[in-house]
Amino acid sequence: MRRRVGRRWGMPADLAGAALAFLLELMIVAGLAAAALLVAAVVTAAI
Amino acid sequence: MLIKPDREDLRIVAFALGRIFTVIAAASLLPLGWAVLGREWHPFASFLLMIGTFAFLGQLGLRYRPSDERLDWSHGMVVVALTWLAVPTIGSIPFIFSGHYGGPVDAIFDAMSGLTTTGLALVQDLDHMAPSLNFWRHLLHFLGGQGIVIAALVLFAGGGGLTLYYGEARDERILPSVRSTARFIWAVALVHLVAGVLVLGVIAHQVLGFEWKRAFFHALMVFFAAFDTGGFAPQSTSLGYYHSGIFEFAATVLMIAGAMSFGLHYALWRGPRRALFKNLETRTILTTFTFTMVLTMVGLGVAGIYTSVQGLTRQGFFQIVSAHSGTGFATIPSSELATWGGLAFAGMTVAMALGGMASSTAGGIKALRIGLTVKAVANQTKQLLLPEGAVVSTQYFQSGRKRLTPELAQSAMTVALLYVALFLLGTGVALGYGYGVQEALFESVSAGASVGLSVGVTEPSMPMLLKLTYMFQMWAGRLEFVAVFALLGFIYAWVRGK
Repeated sequence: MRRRVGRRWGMPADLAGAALAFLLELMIVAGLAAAALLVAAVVTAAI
Repeated sequence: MLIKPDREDLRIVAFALGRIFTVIAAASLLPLGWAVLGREWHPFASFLLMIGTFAFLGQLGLRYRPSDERLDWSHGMVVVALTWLAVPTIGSIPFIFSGHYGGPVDAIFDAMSGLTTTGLALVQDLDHMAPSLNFWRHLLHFLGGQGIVIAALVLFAGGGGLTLYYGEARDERILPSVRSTARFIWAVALVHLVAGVLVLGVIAHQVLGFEWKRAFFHALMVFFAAFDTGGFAPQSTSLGYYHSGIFEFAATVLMIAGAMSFGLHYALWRGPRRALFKNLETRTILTTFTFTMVLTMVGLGVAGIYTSVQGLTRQGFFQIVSAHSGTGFATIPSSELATWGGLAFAGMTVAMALGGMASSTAGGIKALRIGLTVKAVANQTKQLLLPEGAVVSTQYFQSGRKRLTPELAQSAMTVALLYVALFLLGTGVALGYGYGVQEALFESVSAGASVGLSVGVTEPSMPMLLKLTYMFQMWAGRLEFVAVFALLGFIYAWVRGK
């Protein structure tokens, strides 16, 4: 995948891998934050 | 019978220490340069003294070249344990002369806290500290988090790399050689450094209105503390100083990146990415994170501390990420954190004790050990319930299918138990001085698991014995005991051996 992204954007495969890794890290944190929001909404509604 | 270490053993240890001190002396030129640029001549003089001490000891060690430079297992462990004692002691010289500490012990406490990426601090009047000194505090996080010995490994070839690597509590070799693994670890850190400082700096300038120079200074300090799961901050109010949700979110991304194992970073960079969520460690940390987050948020809701969805999400989520990743940033004062009783207190304490992933910059028991322990207990239970002679699968997935041997399960459980004992040690000493059970336990777990969150116990006026206990907890917890036991055994053999 990093090679494909690298070819498309004209960057070395390692740099494309790093960019993809950042994107995944961002998605992980966004997912966890969304879960926190859901828990907070349930807790606030229940109490 | 114990064999007394001979002169050759001492030469091997001294020579390896000489190499490491030379690397630290070179790294210490960075704050020295910072002091020159900022015309901070008082810190400049103390940095010179520190660099001179490192360089002198480095050259002294290098004079004792052994006949065979190759380190065996015990030599490597002793070198690591001594390095992690000597570097904070010598590295505290600029703090001792800064006028920001109550005495040398307080200065060494902060240097130990910095190097072990804990984040508990005894500094006074931090908001008026010279930028070069503040930079050195945070650089200690970076050196400790990435591994000073690993830095020496990248620069020096030579035998015994593996034992030094394991001594710094890293148990995963990503690439075939330790040296290439060490290079990859530093490459990940440098790429995150560039991206992290850029993002935080732009946010500080555009959103918080800082001028560019100040924005990038804060960005660099926060990056060091976040990615290396340290917890020092350039201001006394930690990340609460910025009052910015987007700045906190960017710091959260870096905290989570820091708590991820370098094996996981490797998989994210080069693949295969699909296997990531099959890993025992990834599944364990997602489970424990969700569990402790729900526990904390329910506790905060029941106690009525945050009544709005926004307040509960922002404060609860940030503090639990900070605790579970072992960072120690806070967006609320320690006096407010001290009011988090009941379930919220339990959630935060458990999160701190569990810590991040193995082979990351985080401390604590680590997700892989928790996962292996749970799997071993589940297998034992299955074995009891099934007919005699039935075969129970003892495999788990962690970058490939692996066998859970009794030795591996025992090793994971032993280290977990040692952490519990370490947490109880600090709790017991604090209880002896009359602190409440809750605050004594919280602060002790924070020190032993290299977190740095505080409910107010850690302050310059705290008892001396408690300061020394927390320093021992930071040192032993960071090195995950093996190197500590090796040093104690080495000293015992030297005294009692024949």
